[in-house]
Amino acid sequence: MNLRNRNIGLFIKKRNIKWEVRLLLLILIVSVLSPIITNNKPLYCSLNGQSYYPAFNDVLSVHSLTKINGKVLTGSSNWQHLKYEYVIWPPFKHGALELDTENKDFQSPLHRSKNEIGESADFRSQHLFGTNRQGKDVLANVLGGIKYSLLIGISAVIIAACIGIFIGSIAGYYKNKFTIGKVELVGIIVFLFPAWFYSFSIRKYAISDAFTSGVHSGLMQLLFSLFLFSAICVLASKTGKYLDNLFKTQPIQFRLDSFLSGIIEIFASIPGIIIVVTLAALVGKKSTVLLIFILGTTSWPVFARLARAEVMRIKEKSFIESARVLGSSNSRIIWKHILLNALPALAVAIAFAIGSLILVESALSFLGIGVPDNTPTLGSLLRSGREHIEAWWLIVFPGGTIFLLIYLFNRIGDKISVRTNQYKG
Amino acid sequence: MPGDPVDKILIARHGVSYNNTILNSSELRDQLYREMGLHLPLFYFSFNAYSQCDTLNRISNKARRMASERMTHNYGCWPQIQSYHQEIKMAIDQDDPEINNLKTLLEIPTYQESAEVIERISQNSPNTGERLKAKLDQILKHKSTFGNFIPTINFHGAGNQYHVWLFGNGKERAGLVRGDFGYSLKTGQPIGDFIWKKLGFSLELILVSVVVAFVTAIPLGLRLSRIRSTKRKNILTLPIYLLYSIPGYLIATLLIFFFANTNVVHWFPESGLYPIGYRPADHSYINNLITGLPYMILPISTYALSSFAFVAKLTANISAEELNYNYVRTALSKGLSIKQVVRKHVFKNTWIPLITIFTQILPAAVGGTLIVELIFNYPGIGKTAYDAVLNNNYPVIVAIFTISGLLTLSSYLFADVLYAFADPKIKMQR
Repeated sequence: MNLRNRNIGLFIKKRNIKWEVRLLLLILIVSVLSPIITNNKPLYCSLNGQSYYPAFNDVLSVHSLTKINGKVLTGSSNWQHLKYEYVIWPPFKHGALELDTENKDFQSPLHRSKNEIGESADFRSQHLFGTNRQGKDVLANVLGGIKYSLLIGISAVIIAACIGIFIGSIAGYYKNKFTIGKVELVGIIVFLFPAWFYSFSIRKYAISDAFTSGVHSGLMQLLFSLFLFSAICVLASKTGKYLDNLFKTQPIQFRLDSFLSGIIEIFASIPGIIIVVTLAALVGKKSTVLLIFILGTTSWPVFARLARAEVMRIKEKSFIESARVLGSSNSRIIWKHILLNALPALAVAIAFAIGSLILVESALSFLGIGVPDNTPTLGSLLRSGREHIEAWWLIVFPGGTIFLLIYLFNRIGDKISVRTNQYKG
Repeated sequence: MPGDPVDKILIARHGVSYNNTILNSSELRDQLYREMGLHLPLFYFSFNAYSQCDTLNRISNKARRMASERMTHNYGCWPQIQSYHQEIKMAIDQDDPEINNLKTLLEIPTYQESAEVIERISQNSPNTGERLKAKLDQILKHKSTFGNFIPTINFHGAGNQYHVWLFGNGKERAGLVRGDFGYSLKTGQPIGDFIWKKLGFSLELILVSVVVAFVTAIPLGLRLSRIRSTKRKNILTLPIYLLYSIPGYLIATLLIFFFANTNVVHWFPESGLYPIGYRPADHSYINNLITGLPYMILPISTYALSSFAFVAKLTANISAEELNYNYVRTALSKGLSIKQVVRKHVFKNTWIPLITIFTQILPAAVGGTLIVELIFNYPGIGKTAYDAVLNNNYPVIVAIFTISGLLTLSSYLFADVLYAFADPKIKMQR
């Protein structure tokens, strides 16, 4: 199986994960399009000769506001009572953030929902999956929750995989035989202190002020500091290299693998969920971007360990030697020859990691930590089910959905990793 | 770090609400501040800007300390700022009528806002206002922020917070090496008094459930691995795959729904560890265990079910892989049945990865049971950590992370010793 042809279709067919991938794609599309499947805003409406597309705005952003006649409309009943000239409603007429006061206090899905006048509502206004205490529609929240879970899981895994594969492949490729010029090594170590000073110490107030004004600007300032830090280190390294060439110093061996493995072990030994809870509480703001950042930066050791082992295994193959003889640089060998061959193994880890991060996200929203309050999440639905133990629909639907998502990712991971471990008698 | 630790301990010890006289008494605050060792620098050395003063830690009031630091960062002339603050303190000591405004003045880091407050002060006491204004103008006159860009290193010797935390100061603090973790900010009692008991509860829960899971899952996994028909195997492993994908808190919710629900069956209590009003300190250990048993069954089942699927899946996979090796063929041709081969030969070869998983329960006792403990209100270390995080009780958080690190290290050691028992090829080597 060669991924270098980038023939993902063949890969999916060979590994026999066609149905899982199809189901996952279906879930992904349905959840992303959930605002136009079930929403309390119309798909299209014309009002006073002007056209509006309020439900489509929800697909593009989570908290979109639509202004009609200069008035911002967000509430539940606002949309139902407008006098439209022409209107097209979504198939189901309940939004994820809407609080249906007529059908609050745990309306069962078997029970017919009421409309504003107290009569039983038509099919499209039914709460097909029931409601919770505040009157939130479970169906709309489950669909929104899937979108949120997939967003968190996939984005956090991308961050974690980038960090982990970078550190792991360097440790596995150079092992303990990383040669470095004397001046370069001394330069990097000496310049670590001013780099830290100029990027973090004196920018302390800029970062904390940016965090108090908003999480996004805070993260931008933090990223800028990180960039400054690495820029100073790279500058020191390049200058050192130049001086080494100039004075023709003897290079020394640096125990890179032991050093990086130690760092990996330290990060792996921190209890995952407690550090996430601690960081989320320390920042004190609930934000999706921050949650992705925290989850991504705490779950990379898995990838680092795996990438290190895979790189060590593939590095011994003879085609790597051929590549080196042909004059490929180290970075080209790592990137083009080793990591591309390690992709199937990394794909397994990525699939499992998405599953486990969805689990962590739903556990956090179940506990109510780190996840913004007015976001539809599967965990918060499950939590509202615990207030009223008879409300089985608040356990079955969100619980079943989380289970299905995790099961799909685990199954995909398992099937990719399947080798000849079948006993044939 | 959000929250002032001195305030928290004062509230914990004296049981007073906020804005009380005790909280505002500066002698008591200073005394406690010194007692907690917060007046010391953080580490053996510190990196500072040239303009910064390295003795700011001695200011016991957190808001004033932050304001002084920020002001030095903004204006870069510590001597002038110091004399300005001394002027304010002198005015406070002389019982100036504008005492509240003067106190807020100490917490303001910018010239603009300070000037506005001084304006208000000078309406009632023009003398003080005039003197303060002169000092404040001195700060603006000597403003030079170039010092912010010059790094300096300060060495503090053994008199620092880290050293005291680790080795103690020879007086009231014994240090981590002698088992002293400091004081909980919520209750004011020493952390060492309760943390080991909490860890014991968590270890009890996790040990029992993991042993139950291993005892049931390993035979099942071995049995599954020797099924030949792919179809039958897929059907039989499906329940394990399904169980493996159910989150722990969902299992817990379902168990509560079915076994602690008055509408279905109410066999077990929903939460806690003892009945209300039961004091475990009054009874013997065995008595406590028997009383707590019905409360422990649901948490143990939750954790056991989620580890069961994992262990069964792992055992089945390793064992199926082992069955392809030549020694299995040799054993079969020797006349052993496949059942005997799996039990006598293959099983021993699954030990190494199973030991790795088993020894993971030591570090998992800290973080792994968090959700289960929270759902069942079980007084373990995960719940303690969660409460500490919500209360900004950071000595407890630091203690829990330290214990977690120690447990991880001991699990590695434990695993290495067990590997030597499992595999005769592994020996102690230099």
